[in-house]
Parts: sequence; structure tokens; C-alpha cells
Amino acid sequence: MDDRCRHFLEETALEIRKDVVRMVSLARSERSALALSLVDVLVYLYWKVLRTFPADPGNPLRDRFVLSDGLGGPALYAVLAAKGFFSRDELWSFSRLGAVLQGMPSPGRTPGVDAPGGPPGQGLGIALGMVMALGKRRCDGAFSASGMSGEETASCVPAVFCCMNLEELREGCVWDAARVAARDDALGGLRVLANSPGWNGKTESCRDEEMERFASRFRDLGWKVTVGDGHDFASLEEGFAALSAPERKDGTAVSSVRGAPCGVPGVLFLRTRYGKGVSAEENRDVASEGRPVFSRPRLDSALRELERRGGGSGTTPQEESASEDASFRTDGFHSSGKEEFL
Amino acid sequence: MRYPEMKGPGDPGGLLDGLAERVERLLVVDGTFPLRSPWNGALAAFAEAHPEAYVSLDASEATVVLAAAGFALEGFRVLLGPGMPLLLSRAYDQIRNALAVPSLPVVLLGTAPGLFRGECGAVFQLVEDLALARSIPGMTVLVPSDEGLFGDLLAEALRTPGPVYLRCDVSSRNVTDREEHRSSGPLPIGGGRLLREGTDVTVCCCGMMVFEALEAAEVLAKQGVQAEVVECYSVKPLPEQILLASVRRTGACVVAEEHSRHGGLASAVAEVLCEKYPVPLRRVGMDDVFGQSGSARELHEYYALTHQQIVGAAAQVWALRRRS
Repeated sequence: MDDRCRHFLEETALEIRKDVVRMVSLARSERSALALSLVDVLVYLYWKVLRTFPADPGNPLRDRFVLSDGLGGPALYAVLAAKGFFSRDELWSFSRLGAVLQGMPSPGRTPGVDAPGGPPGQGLGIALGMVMALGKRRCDGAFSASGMSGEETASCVPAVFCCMNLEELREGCVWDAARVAARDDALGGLRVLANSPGWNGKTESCRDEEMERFASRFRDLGWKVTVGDGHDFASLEEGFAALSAPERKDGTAVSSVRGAPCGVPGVLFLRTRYGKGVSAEENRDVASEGRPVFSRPRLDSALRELERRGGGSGTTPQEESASEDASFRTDGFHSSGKEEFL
Repeated sequence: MRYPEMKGPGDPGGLLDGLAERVERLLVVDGTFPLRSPWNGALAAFAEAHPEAYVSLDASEATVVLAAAGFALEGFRVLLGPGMPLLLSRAYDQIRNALAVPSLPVVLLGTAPGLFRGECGAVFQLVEDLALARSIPGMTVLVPSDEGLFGDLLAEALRTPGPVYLRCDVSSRNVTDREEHRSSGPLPIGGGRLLREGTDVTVCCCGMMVFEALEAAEVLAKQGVQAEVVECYSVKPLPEQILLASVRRTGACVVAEEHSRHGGLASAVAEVLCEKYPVPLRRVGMDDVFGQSGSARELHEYYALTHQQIVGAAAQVWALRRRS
């Protein structure tokens, strides 16, 4: 990954984090810690991995994304808005009555959301159904155009990514779905991102232990397992490359790369931190869970902190002065000439 | 008249015939439990005739429901569950959150409703299935009585935009003449069938109790009470207009169902009549108890799901009938 690319991703992630903090505080919600832990992963996924069609969200060729733990919703919404699936103004009505952006991801209501999220462990089963359905539709010729060779057609089959939280992996139905998915060499298009957030150092060793237990269970079932750092774009690049290289059960490579209809499914464990980037969130103890964090002054200080940590080049004078309404400026992102990378 | 041969719990062969031709992008998704299901033969025949429209996941109910949501999100019309008798109770959370909340077009088959799997006892006798299904917002609930109606409703259900619960304990002998039934066109969801006209008491019924209600009407006729028999195969949405038109004529109502008296068809009818046209009403159904092992016939007698109960209830409401 060259510096230019990394710089762009970091800048983008910073803007997404600021949007997450803004929308969560406007909604008077307490739920930003998980969303903040997911931002870098989602930025890498949406800008470097997924094939998306923001102007045509239902395009059958799009890669699917299932956010299993709905608490990460704000991060997904900020990313979708930045990609142009809907107006960024929608973020400011997140989880209010009549909003396009529901508290939990709702397909059909929010453009770009492919599957319902919410109850723990629900996502993998849905993703399993999707990847099987895509396999069936491939047989019907849904993804092939005239004149394509067999190989080209295979490379057009969309992949299904499912993002889960480590805690969700305690659910029994996750393992039932994982077992079915690895039963034959046909569902290589299924990729799971297991977000494994740690809490300010205190529980990181427990987290790693639990992660290793789950990883070995996936391995036993025949999944391809990779581990990476969810806040380091170089590590994400390696992790996704390993995840997307299809492999058969016996470990041999499969020739086509994208959304391979054959091969075993893969899982990428990502070490992250709750509330990454905002110390008020990173250092929150579990006892304060459930209370809204961001009063207006604390929101401003969180935004200023993000600016400082972000390295400053994205900082604007208005943001620094933090006037009463600067926190909710809605023009900052798209006017900065970053579209060339999109 | 009594004890029609039951198709669902007995031999369901033929219930899926012609379905793949009638419904585009149909997918039958099945899970668990192949051993005990009388559906095995029917499913094997279907899978052989339409391999592209059949998926067996060999997984738990919860996983199968979630996968069905995935299939439905990708545009398939999913028929779920002939091999999963306890689908509704075991996978309630997944049905609610993954199918009903996003309102996906999935049809859930109820293969162990009521008392027909008698020998298994309470566990495999879901006498509260209608209450469970009816309380989920946006869920359509259908209880056909015979094979012809089942076929029509299944095809109709698979064209419905949201989730549908369809009981499949149906008789292989049709209630009405097949030709006559066909000539009036397929019956819609939200409709009802007026099976017998009468002026004195309305007997509203569904499923196997339709046969009991028709027999009760014969007995009542001998006693000089003309019962009107309305088959409410659509428990939700309820055929309110047909029902109200009938009770306005008769002024009294009996509801008969093979279900707990709480939360099923009787509750649905009582809710509507209370609000719009209150008349004396009696419910014939299971007490607030679970079933037990026994043959289906014994159990129906034991739990008072017979035409005698309907006759008794009809006599009571007729004596109190609303005259206005």
C-alpha cells in the first residue's frame, strides 16, 4: 500500500469517525463505542474491497454486506453516506421517528443495507442463505453476459461479507451456520469479519484468548482463518488479500479470485479497540454503559481530539474554534476534493 | 362424515404437485429431522422433479430460517419447513426478527399443529401455533381444511409480499365439490367460504373443525335450528365483512377451532364482533392445557373438539341471540 492511498484511507476514516460521533450525540444515544471500533475496517472494505453501485443500490452484481451486530450501525451509515448511497443529511436524524436510518440496519428502508441486523448471531445465517442464493442464481445465468467465458462469469459472482462481533460468536446458531457453510467446497464467496474489540487494555488478554478459541473452532470446521489488526490499513490489506484468495478444503488454491463460487469460506479476526479515536469512549468503564456520553461540550472536545489524533491536515479553522454549530457542519466531507479516489 | 382422511399428518403426497409450475422463483428450503416426518416421500418426489427449487440444509430451525431470509433477500419465494414440525416455536426469534421485521416473502408450513401427531404427546402438538403466528405484526395466518383449498392458498401465499404461516393438516376429501369450487375462482387471502346457509346461528370454523361444524349443522337442523357455517380459513386477515354479514342475520355465533381457546380464531372473531356488532359467542377449542399421547380421534374426544360441543354451544347462544 502506498502512502498516498494510506493517507486517503486515514483521512476518510477520520471524517467517518467525526460523523459517527456527531450522529450518535445528536441521537442522544450511548452506542458509539462499537461503531468507532469498526470504522477503519468498514472504510477499507467499502473503498478497497466491495464492488458497490451507490446510484443503483439494488444492482445484482454488487457485493453484499451483512452487518450482524446492529450496534455498529452508525459506522455503516456514515460510510454509506460518504459513498453516496444517500444524503449525508440523513445521518442527523439517525434513530428518530420516521428516519431513513433506523437504530438497527433495515433493508428496504435504507439504500445500501442488504440485510437486517440486530439480534446477536443473526447475520451469519442470513449471509449463508445469500451466498447459497447467489450460487443458485449463477447457475441460472444471472451474472453472465453474452460472450463471457466460464472463468469471467465466475469472477462476476458477488461475494458476501458478514461482519460480526466477537461476543456474537458465543451464540449457538452461529456455529450451526458455520458448519453448514463449510460442509462442501462451494461457498467460498462467504467471508466473515470477526471484529474483536478490546477494552482499554484491561481485557485484551481475555479477548485474545477467546479469539483464539473461536479461531480454532472455525479451523476445525474447515474454514480459512486469518488474523489482523483492525486499525492498521497495511494489516487490513494483507488480511483481506488472504481472505479473498479462495482455497479448497485440502488447501489448494482456486483459480478465480473474486467471489469465488468454489472453495471454503474464510474468516478474518480483527483486533480492534472499543471507542477507537475518542478517549472518552476508549476509557469508559462498563459501569457507565447505557448513559449518553456526548453532551454538547464533550462532543466538541471529542471532535477536537479526533482532529488532533488525525494528524491535523484535515483540520479546518471552523472546527478548531468549535462554535456552537460547528459540530454539525454538513458540508465538510464532500467539498474537500477527495472524490478522485472513490 | 366423521374423521376425514388427513393429508398433512397422514400422507402428504401430492400437496406440492404443480407448485413449481405455478410459482416463479420458488425455493423449498428444508432442515433437520428427516426421520419422523411423513413429508419425506413428498419432499423426495419434489426434489427429484425440481432439483433447482429444493435446498436441504440439514441444520437447526434457527439457521434454516436465517438462511431463508438470505434467499428471500436475493429474490427467491421461499417455502419453509415441511420437515420442521416445531418451526414456529423453536425459531420464533429468527422468524420475528429476520423474516417478519423486514417483511420478507417466506411461507412457513405448520406441520404439527393441533392434535394430529397424537402419539408424540404435548411436545409435538402445537395447540398455540395460531396465537404465536397471529401476534407477529404483518404475518398472514391461513388454516385450510382440505387439499383443494390448501393448494390454492399455498400458491397465493407464495405470491404474498410478507411472511405467511400456513397450517397443513388438511383432509384429502374436499369440503365442496372440486368443480364448483374451481368455477368460482381461487379463494383469496382474507376471504372465507360460506359452506352452508342458515338463519339462526353462525358457526365460524377452520381446519378439521370444518367437518365437525358441518355435522353439527345437520344435527341442529333436525332440532329446528338453521346454522350458517362459515369457514374462516384466513385467520389473519380475518374475513370481517363475511362474518359481520352473517351474524347480523343470525344474531349469535359459535367459533370452533383445533387450537387453544386463547389467541386463535376464536379470539380473533371475538375481537371483531365485540367492537363492531356484539352478539352472544361461545368458543369450542382446547382448554388452557397441553395435550398428551393418544390417537388423534381419542384426543379430539377427550379435549372436547367434536360436533356435540358445537351443537351444545350453538343451542346456548341461540337462546341468548341478539334480536334487533
